[in-house]
Amino acid sequence: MKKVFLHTLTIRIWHWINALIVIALMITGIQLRVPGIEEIARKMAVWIPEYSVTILIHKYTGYAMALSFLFWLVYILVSGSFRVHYIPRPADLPILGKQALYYLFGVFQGSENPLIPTAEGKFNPLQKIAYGSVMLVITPLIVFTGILFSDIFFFRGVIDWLGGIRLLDALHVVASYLFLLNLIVHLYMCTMGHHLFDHVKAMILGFEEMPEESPSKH
Amino acid sequence: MPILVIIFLFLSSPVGAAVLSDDCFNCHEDFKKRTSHESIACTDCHIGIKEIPHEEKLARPTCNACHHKTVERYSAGIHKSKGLACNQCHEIHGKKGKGADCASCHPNVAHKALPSRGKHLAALNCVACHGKLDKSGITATVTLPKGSTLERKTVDRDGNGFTNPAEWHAFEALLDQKFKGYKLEKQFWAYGDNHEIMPKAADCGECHEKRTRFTSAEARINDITSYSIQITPRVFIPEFPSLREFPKTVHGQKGVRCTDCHTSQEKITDKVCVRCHEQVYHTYEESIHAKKGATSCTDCHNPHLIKTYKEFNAKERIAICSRCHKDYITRHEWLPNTKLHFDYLECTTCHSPGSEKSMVFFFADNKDRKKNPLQYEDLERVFGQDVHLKSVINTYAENMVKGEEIGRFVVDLKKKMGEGIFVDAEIIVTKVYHDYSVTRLKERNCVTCHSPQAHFYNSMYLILPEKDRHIYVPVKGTLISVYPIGMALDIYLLGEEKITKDDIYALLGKAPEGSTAYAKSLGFKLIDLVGVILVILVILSILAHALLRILVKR
Repeated sequence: MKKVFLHTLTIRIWHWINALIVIALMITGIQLRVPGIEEIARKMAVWIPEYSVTILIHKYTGYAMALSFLFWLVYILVSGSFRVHYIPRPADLPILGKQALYYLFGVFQGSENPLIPTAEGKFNPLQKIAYGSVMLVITPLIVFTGILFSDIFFFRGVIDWLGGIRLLDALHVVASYLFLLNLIVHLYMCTMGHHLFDHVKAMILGFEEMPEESPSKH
Repeated sequence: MPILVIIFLFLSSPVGAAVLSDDCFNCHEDFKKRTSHESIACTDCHIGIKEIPHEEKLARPTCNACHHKTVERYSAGIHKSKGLACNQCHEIHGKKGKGADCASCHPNVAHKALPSRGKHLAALNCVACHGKLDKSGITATVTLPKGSTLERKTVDRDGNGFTNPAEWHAFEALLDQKFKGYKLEKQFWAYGDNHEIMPKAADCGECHEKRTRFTSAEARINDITSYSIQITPRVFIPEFPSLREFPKTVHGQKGVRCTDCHTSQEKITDKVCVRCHEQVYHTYEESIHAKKGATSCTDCHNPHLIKTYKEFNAKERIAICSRCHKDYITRHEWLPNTKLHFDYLECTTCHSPGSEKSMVFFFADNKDRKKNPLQYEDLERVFGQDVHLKSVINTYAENMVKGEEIGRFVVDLKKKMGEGIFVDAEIIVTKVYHDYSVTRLKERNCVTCHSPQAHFYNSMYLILPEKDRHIYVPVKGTLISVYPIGMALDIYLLGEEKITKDDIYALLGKAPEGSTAYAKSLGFKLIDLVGVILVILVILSILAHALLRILVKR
């Protein structure tokens, strides 16, 4: 077994803080979207915060999300991580199909993962697509529309120019559904390591233990 | 010598042989002591005495011959019409200046209806209010502590020989600061001929607004040298601006007089209001505001204001509540876009469920990024004097305006008054139920308002400013017909864009028009539908994937 260093301490801390923020936003977001849920919770004697409180939590957690996103963006750009891990390369193209086939079939047949993560490239092409779209399209869209929502009066001009509150609302919600879909897959995929919790451990400790004989780029 | 003879002959002749007062005193000895009328002879008034002893029945003396003007004034007054004669107040044969004063007939008048009774009664004499004043004024005497001196220019800074309120207040401040122990005595005097007593006392406004009484004032500064300066009486008789506007208020128009409410100098209590506003008060009595004893009627309502509640816009209404509920913005932080909401709503829109709410429209001008509702004066400038906007807007002269009519009018108004003109809207209470007890509304649900089903869309009014009032003209049609379409959608479609249980049932085949047609009609609601379906599909696939992994032990 060898240790492969994958995640810097900064990224690990950021990941878990961001995870908490996302969970809070998801939960409060659902309540905001479906106010009827309060009634159901009351009937089931489950405590959920009041609508008013939820709005505040969502709003301020949203600000935290904006900051968190900004931090991440600056960090991956400055650290060079963006260049190393996120930009798709021509070499990714052949692996794309293999990777999909592995997840669909290979994993059940005991095949090896076509791409073993290393410090020089931790994402396979599918991950690049997924993380790239979440972090560079969906999150910015949610954060941007969310900030506009935080003070409609102040941003009235921008909102009208964009097509009105109605469209803004639609964008925010579409983006959050896409985010949710990605999150569900993300949560499942983190069990796809060598052992069930290898990926989770890696995000805590920074490194992942890999069998020596596995094909690596070294 | 011949001249003396002529004089003697003249005096002793029957014509000139007047009875001398001293001759009268031989019998009427008491009258010798009189100081009143002492300079005139008995026969000047008691005419018809040609010799002594005189005839038993003499004509009644009249004061008219000398006091012609006074009698004329007196005759116009209430005392004359009640049959009072001069001598019932004046001691004609007694001591000069003595006589019955007002209190001898009107003892201990309570003056219950007089506000600030103590102050008024201490400073004023009876005729000050009850008489038609001849000459009146105020003298303020300032006595400085011994040895100190004040230059004239401290009282009259601009040197125009007249002290205006600003100068006087500055002067008083200076006295307080530098001349501890000074004395300021105010004297309200009414002299001259005050014989005309009025049937009703002077109205408060005569002193406090129109200033037809005590029209002049003088300040006398007593220091080492003493001098006087003219001063505006405004300084000593406070102005009640409310009096000027009072005839225009609802109270004023219904003939309520100051003293109908101000029966004492005490602060007006609810008991005064309830005399007329019984029903409203009983509703209010049961509410938290009243029960907590925190607010009386006048804490919120200013009976001296011209406007009825219908003439207050949302901002002005909020201003009333926020005098106490200062933290209303922070308390509503849960409400998204708190400030924006408060631009269009007032407190009772939500906190008085029993009240009737309406969506009201009015014309406003967008100047410097601020909305200014158009006033009657603005519109008069464009449409000419005494314009009735309702007839300008409403071409069919019904008791309603249509959305199109408002639209046409705005287009026209924009041409006349500039591009900043627009139709603004608010959701306010239009029929008051006086219970504002509801706090911490359970139903903090956006859809309560943000839905075309919200009840206030059934009650829409166009507010038109008229001279001295606003009129509410019912609006026919839909919100969209009145409001620019984008804005209208923003107002009410936000909350509606969520899928409901009914939509799901309809989609599952219960919709009469068929599922596909129904799905198309859902519009933005489809986001939730597609989103939830995708989430379910993804979870199912993951579960299948996980199950397979478990089965092959991977």
